[in-house]
Amino acid sequence: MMNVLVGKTDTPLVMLDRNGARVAPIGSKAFLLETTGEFDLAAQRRIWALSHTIAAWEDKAEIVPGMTNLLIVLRHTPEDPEAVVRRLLDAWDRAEPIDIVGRTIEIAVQYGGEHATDLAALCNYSGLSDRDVVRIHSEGIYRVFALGSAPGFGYLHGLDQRIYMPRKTVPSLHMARGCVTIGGMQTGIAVLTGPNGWNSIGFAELQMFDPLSDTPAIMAPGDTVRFVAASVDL
Amino acid sequence: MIEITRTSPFNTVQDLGRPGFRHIGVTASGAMDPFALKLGNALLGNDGGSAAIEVQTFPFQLRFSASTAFVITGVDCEATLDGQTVLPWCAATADAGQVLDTAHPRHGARAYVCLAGGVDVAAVMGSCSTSLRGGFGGNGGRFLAVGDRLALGLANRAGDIPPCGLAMVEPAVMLADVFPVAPDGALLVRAIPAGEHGLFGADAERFWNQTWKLSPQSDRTGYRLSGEPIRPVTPVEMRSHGIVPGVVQVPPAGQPIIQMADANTAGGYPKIAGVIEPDLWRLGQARIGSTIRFVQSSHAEAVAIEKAMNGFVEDVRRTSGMVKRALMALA
Amino acid sequence: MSKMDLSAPATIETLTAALEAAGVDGLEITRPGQSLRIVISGTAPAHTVSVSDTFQAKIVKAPMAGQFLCDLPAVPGCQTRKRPADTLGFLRVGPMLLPVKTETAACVHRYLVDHETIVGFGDPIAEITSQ
Repeated sequence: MMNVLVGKTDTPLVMLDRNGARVAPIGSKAFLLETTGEFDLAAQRRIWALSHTIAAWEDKAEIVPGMTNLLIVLRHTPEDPEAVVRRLLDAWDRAEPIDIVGRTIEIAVQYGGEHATDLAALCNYSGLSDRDVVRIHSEGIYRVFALGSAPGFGYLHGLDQRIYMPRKTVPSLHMARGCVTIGGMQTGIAVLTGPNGWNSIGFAELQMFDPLSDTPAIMAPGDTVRFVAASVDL
Repeated sequence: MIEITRTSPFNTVQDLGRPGFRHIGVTASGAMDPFALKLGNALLGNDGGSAAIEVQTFPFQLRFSASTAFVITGVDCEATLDGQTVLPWCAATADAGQVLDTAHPRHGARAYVCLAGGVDVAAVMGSCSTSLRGGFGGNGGRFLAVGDRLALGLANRAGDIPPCGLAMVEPAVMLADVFPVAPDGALLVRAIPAGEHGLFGADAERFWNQTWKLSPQSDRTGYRLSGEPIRPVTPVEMRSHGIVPGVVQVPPAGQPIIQMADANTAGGYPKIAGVIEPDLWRLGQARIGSTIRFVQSSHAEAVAIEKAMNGFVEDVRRTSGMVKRALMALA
Repeated sequence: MSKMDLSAPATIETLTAALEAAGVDGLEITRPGQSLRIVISGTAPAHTVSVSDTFQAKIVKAPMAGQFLCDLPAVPGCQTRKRPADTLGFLRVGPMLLPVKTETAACVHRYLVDHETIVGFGDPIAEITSQ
């Protein structure tokens, strides 16, 4: 099924929605492909495959895999944007799920203490004790779905739904770099000190990003992350 | 070498940015008006992407410690060199010890102090741009401060400026046909509808028709617009995805945000449109409190505008070289 | 008349009033050691008066071929920019503008070519008076 959306003007909008994915431009050089199915590892594994395929495209400048979506930035503004949209969807159709054999990263966490500013609120929200929250979080096995938002920040998938907690409507203004946080159904480690809408339950010393390194980000998509309780201060 | 002798916050070293690292969360940064930077470098015979000083708060003043060719592009900030008028878009040579001073511009927002050889700071991840958010790149990842001394790269011989100086016709004049001006003074910003455009229903029409104002919460990261709020017909839950400068997102309050040079690398607000890349430099010169209107554009139009802009930069590079050589031969 | 002091304010005022009444655009009187130029224009400043006691004409020549411009091209939507005191115009070559400068502070006595005229290398552009 192919569905071309037409705008109010005579200019057709450059958008297509087909076979579980849709593509639309962002400005003149970037195109975003979003999957329209479940938010799960299966969809993400196909995004990784797509990312792998289009890495070979001559006209690509940047590929930014997101959460079951992918942004491609082209070197030059395309004369024929519809062709780019079709080419992306064709590549999506052919994308067989792949599993990236990533590294396993163990991160020592000081649960509780001065940085766990939202642990009490999470206990209230979940009805669990602080010990249970810490145990459930540290027992999880997480996958890095994508990096983004801030330098080296990894979106981790695999949080136990018993400790899901919505993002704050009013962000903390000065959350420290290293805070171990929960945002909705995701968990991660703050990489910059500053405003942050996620909920902090602990702290990790590990520096997630070094701009002077050949590989500036510690995490990469596909990596497995485990949190090890170095200390529990409740 | 130059020394900063007067500055306010928010003035930084910038080049054309560090694209290529969005996938690890690193914003591209770079000059808010890359066109002014490219033209300044072309006039000085620098490499196109040489780093310059982006001045967005005035007055800003520096002292040259050696004879140096320079040009101020982007805006007219009534610059003086030891008290003598220096025209914008006009390259000149400063002697050692001379002081370059600037005042608040009457039009436009950002001046680029381009220097022969470029500002020579260590490249981090392939760029000399300052990443304020990441705290790296440029001059130690921070704003310039009084007393900062910046080294300059080796000047290209093509950078030799005639004693009377050498100016260019500024882009607003040279490319007046390519960048039309609205009679009411609103900046016309060309954009292409983005993924969630259709979800705004009748509000989409209001997005294009109304005149928006740049709110004071506007900086290198993004511009917040104020006007009649626009909202999707039904609330949308978006998954985090990569974004680029120029994306026009609409947070729940209905006042759009245009992401700029220090754009976040990921976002989740519905996107109504994306500003075409060749119009971003004009936004980079828009002032807080000024007005803009979006005009529906196309990829074909963006290609044509880019062609005109690249042609102009090439023309400046080629013709300035020719004028410099001719004057030397006739002297 | 030969005894008239061209720099006296009363003289300038009288001559200006006479010119305005006659609907004449301007007047220029040059004598050895003295010159007076009055230009009547519709907008303020109403009178541009330059008087020099030790008048010495000097010709400024085109440093290369190009199109001579008295002023910078106007930017749409912006006020016209003033050219610096030591710049009497520009030679336009494609997108480039070569400032035509005087060595010392001087005022333009008379342009010898019109705005936007194509000139060759060495062509006289203006007569300046230095003090």
